[in-house]
Amino acid sequence: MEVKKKQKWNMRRNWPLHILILPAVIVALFFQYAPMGGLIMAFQDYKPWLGFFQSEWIGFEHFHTIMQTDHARRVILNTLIISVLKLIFGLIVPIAIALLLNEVYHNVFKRTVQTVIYLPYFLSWVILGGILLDLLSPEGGLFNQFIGIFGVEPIFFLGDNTWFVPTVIITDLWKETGFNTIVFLAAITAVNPNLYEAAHIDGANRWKQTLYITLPAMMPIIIVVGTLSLGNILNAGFDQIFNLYNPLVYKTGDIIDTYVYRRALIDGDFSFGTAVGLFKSVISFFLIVLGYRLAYKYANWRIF
Amino acid sequence: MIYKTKGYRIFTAFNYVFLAFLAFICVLPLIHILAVSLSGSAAASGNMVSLWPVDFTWDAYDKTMGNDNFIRSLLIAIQRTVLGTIISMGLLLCAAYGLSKYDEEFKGRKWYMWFFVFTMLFNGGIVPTYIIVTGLGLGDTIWSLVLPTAINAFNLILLLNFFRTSVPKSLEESAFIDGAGHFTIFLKIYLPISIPAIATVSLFTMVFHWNQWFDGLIYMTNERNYPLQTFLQSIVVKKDLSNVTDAQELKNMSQRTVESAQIFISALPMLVVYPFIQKYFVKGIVLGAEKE
Amino acid sequence: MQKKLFSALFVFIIIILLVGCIESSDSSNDSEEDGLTTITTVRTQDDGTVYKDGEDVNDNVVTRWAEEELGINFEYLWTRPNDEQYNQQIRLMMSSNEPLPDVFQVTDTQLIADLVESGKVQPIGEVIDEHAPDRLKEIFNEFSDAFNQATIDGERYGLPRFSGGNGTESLMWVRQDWLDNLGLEAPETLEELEAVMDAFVNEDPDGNGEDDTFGLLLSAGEVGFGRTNIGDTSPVFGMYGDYVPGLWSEDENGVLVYGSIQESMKDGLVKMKEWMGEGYISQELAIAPADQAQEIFVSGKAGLAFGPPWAWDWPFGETKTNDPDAVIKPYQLPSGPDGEMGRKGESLLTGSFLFSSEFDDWDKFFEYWDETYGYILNDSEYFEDGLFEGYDYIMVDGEPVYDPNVIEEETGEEKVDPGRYFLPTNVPTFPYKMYGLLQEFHENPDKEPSGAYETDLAQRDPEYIEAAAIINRSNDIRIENKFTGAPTETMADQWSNLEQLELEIFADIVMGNVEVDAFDDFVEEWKERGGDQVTEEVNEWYDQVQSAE
Repeated sequence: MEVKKKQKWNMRRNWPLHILILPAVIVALFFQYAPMGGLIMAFQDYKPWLGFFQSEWIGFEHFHTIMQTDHARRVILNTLIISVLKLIFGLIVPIAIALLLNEVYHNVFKRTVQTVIYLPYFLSWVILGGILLDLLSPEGGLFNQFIGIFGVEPIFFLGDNTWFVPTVIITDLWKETGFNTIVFLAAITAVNPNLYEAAHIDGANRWKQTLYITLPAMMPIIIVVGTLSLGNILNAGFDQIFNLYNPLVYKTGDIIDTYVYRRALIDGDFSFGTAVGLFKSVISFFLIVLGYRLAYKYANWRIF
Repeated sequence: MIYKTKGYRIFTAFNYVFLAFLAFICVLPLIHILAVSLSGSAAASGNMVSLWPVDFTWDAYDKTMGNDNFIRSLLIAIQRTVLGTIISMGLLLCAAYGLSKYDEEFKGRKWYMWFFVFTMLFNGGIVPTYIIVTGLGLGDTIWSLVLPTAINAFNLILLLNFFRTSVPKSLEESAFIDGAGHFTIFLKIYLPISIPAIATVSLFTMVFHWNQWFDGLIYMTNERNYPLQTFLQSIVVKKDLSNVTDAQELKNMSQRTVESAQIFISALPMLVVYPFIQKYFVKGIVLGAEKE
Repeated sequence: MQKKLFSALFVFIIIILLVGCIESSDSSNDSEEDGLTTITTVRTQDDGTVYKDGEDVNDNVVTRWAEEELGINFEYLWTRPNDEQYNQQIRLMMSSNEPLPDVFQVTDTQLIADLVESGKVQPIGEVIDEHAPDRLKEIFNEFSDAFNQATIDGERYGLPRFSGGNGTESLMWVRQDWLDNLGLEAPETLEELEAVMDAFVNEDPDGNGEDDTFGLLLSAGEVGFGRTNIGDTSPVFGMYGDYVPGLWSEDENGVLVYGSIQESMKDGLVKMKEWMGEGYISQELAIAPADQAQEIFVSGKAGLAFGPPWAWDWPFGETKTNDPDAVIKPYQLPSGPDGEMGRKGESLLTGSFLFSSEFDDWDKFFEYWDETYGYILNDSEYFEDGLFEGYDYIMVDGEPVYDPNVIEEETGEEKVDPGRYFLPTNVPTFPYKMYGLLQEFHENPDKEPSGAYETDLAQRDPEYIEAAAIINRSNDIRIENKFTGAPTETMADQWSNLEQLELEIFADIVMGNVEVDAFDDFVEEWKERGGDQVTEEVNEWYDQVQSAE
């Protein structure tokens, strides 16, 4: 029966599907694929006035330079550290908060908190950059005033190499958590209430119920969110870093994207910038293929 | 079900306090910005404002609303958000319908899929993209903000997953048997059922367009065509103070109250839009994540 | 219900699309037929540039003047709010082979070198000899060093856009009321400076009963030590030697050396660390951008600040708004242990004007350039009473008035500065001209100003005039940057790394993260990682320009 249906389907003409996909393909060809031709400059000593055809070919020299330049290596490491931390905390914290919110039975309170914590998600890093610079200022910044109450000396969150990365992670959490929390919370509310009832009768307390009922029920969505962000693994967040960093914290805070930007558009070294960008793409490519495989193997879930 | 153990009650108390604190931290920056924007400029540049305006005045808002450049960039941002969302959603929905079929049903789907996923990973970088966009004559037009970002493979994947999970296969099959074609099924069955999904991804796209600043910086040769975030980025946030050689310039650069007013106004539209989409949103995102 | 909502949304969208039509930057019709010469250009347009209603960069009192009187139609292809974005845009134009504007200013020396290498700009040495009027040639000869920035292989490519020469150099601004409250004198030496700072920090100079004050405003945030102008740190280093971080100066042998690796840096850094420990200076010193750092002075929490004379107008003047009793006075910088003083010298120029290789309307261009100089040279048929009536001055009873307050009272409009509409983005000037005049007015209060420019200057606040006089009187303590050429080969590769090293070690020492001995390791590392090579190349360049003269 099953087989028959599929055969029938295949006999149907699929040309409308091609037509429907075509416009998107054309736009992608123009704006995503055509510029990829520019990647050849990663293998050139590209001079804009000579163009792609006359610029000197230098093979993998830029890639050698990446591996040999202290700062370039540091930048790659920074990118990995920041993005992995973001990935981990970006999953754990919203889940935790969603679970906590689920324990709130006061509906107005619940809805207010829910509505309020998504707020930062809608603010751009341009705006948040301006606000954070102000809030985190060690001299009279609100946050330092606050921790000052507890006798803590002012901290230079955005200018200190020890503090910059935690600050980036936390501010990113602060911006994104509310949004993800709502996603997870929705998954929790979809859990069948009868399960809890049964568990309660069996004598399981609230914590046990969370552990054995709520979390397993959330697993699919956790895996989805996790695997989707795996593809972003090397995007440590250009917008955020660019609007928060300063030369003092290049050591820990400079990431591939900001480095590429500075090398290409500020220093005018287009080929080297492109080479670094290409390097990043190749690594992410392998990571996303890995993510795809893992998700399929362990969760039997196809990302696409 | 209410639990009455002592431990749980203590937990509940802490939980309420903690969540309230969390909520407070999330609105605090906006309150601060609002307070600064309503304060006198001397108090603000002396960093003397925390959560309540000092020397209350509407001055900064008068100035902001009287600033043609600000208003113009605001309109451009609205225009780009609306146009960008419509175009992007149109393209993505059509494509997602096709790609929501299974490999067995639709030969060539796999190729299309990798074609789009590939764009998530590789891009030509700023300069080649710039050359193409300006080469097509799109430089300095709204199209340079709308078209290059129209295809977002991430959103495409979300949409096709929504389609796969929310449209009952049986409904589609019986429509086919009744002689309906792909176009009819797409328009009459898929789209109406997927309103939550469409609302969700539209929201993503709107937020993206509203908050995007870097492309405006590059493609808009005429500063007058900057969308709002680009305007804010170049004038409010990234200031170049080391080269300033006179007082007038430095003074006009550092009007904190006006900056705050502009920041506050620019944050408003997204805050207003969300509640309207919220009810679809929660539904949409959960459905999209369910296993097939 | 839902349908209604959607149709309302639809109408809204249509309206937006119709209303918000983006301005197209059509290249306006070439007006050669009216006998006008069109010169295309681009510019930065900072926040200080204010237009009257209805005017903009392409249509204002200056462009109309150029069109009507000189027959030149200036066409600004685009503008950018700051140098970084401006340079980026030029780079993008270059990379996509778009035609360059006829005339444009470039401040980034690497960009100048790239443009010259691309062959898209032309040498102008001969052009100047042939076409420039004599009074301009005189200025060019007097400050011929300014051409070094855009001289490549012995050819001049750039027309200097002169700075005020010493316009943005630091002196000491002091809260006189705090001094008076505590019965102190303005400090003249390091020792006295420390005593005053100590009193400002510990003796409650503002009398509010709280321990909430700093001694001195210093700022090195974002750009680094020796590179800011409000809260300038260079005077601290200047007390210990003739070197400032970030600048190349001559040593005893006339060889160029890099300031940041000199022994005397250590003394300055140790001093600042000490001051930070005592609470004399803000801990935010090494991080806060200047506009945040200055808050401690503006909000009345710091009593001393190193900054340029113009800081009087803003931001330091703002202090009075927060505290009406504040009295601020300018003083000369304090001297170091051996009586030495020094401050970072401003560059002779802010950038160079380059000319597209297609451009050839030289006579027209130099006519314009010459006329705009007429104003400060007090020799112009157009600018006798000022630049433009109703803009920088108005006529009251047949007399020109420049005072912004009077202008605002009389016309109900704020005074705007049309000088900023000129091609060089400000009234064209040349080094030492302005502060030289201000010094004369300060030393000789009875001096009658002649001409609009002088009259305008003579009416400035006395504090500002005094500050300018203090600066101009002590031009011998300027520490100049002698290397103004394009980044050398090794610089292009290594400089950002080296600067990075420098920024980190300076901040680390001052904040006490590392001991001062780490400075020696830094110098070694700096030299090893290309610094020595850079020094060699910089001196090659220096020898070349020296011998060319």
